[in-house]
Amino acid sequence: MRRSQPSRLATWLLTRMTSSPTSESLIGDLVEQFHRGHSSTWYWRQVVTSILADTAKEFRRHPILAVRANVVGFSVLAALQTGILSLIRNRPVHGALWVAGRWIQPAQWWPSPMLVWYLCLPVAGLFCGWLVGRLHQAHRIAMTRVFAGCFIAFQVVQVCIWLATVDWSVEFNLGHYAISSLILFVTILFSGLWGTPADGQSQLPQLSIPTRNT
Amino acid sequence: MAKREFLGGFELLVLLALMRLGDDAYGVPISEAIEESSGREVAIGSVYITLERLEQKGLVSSRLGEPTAERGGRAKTYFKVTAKGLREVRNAQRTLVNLWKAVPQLEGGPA
Repeated sequence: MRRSQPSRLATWLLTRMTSSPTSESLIGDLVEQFHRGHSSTWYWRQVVTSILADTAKEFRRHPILAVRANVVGFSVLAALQTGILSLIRNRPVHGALWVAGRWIQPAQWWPSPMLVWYLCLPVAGLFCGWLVGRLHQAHRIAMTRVFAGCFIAFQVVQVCIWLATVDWSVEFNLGHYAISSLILFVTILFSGLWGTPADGQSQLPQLSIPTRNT
Repeated sequence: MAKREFLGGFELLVLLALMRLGDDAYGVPISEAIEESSGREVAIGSVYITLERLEQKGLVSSRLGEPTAERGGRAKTYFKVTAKGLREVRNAQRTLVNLWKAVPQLEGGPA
């Protein structure tokens, strides 16, 4: 059954993730076309394409800032991932807990490596996205989006290279890699959505839109 | 020779669609006009980004219309080609026609 209204999530994402002064008119055009009979799939496709096109525009418009955002983001992310891995590999030996009248050894209370990994990963993603946004206040949403886009593109390229060259005799868990990448991508992206949408537009040139003479 | 920026392929399509549509040109009819001519789906977001770039170059101008209920209370932004834009389209046409004339493979119309 066709929905009577376009997806509110898609509209919200488009509102928050585009920095163009004409984004309200763009949403109006998409809503108009939806009411003329276009499908929800078409609506989502248009929203995703618009966000991608706007991200590419921001990259072209501020190439130095985009490179800086990526250098900061990837460096901090690599450091955090190394920290999380060291946390997993170096389980504490000492530090038994006194619970309900008996001592519990670290091997019993220390969570499984997988749980540590998946608990720490969203925090790392949120921190990286927040830091990138914090260092690029004038283009906060745009630069977070650029970093998230470059991150997921890098992950996809890396997976393709691995799939072509991987030694299948060595354990290679594509599922965990894909889920981890997705968690990081989503959290980086959403960390840039905090605050007001106007943050990303404050330094962009405005279109000259004179009011209609009546 | 003075350095002049050439119009991109999509920029030229958008300008031509704008000229055909006249004063009532906004995102939807512009993308529909390009879709009809090219036979390919066009992302309305890409049309707006191109229009924004053309406006920064001074090739198009825009004005805000009235909000309508059909559009969820959002206004249309109408665009039109400026005199400079018209000059650029003419230059692009001249350049393309001159190049076309000298290509033997393209003589005799579409294959």
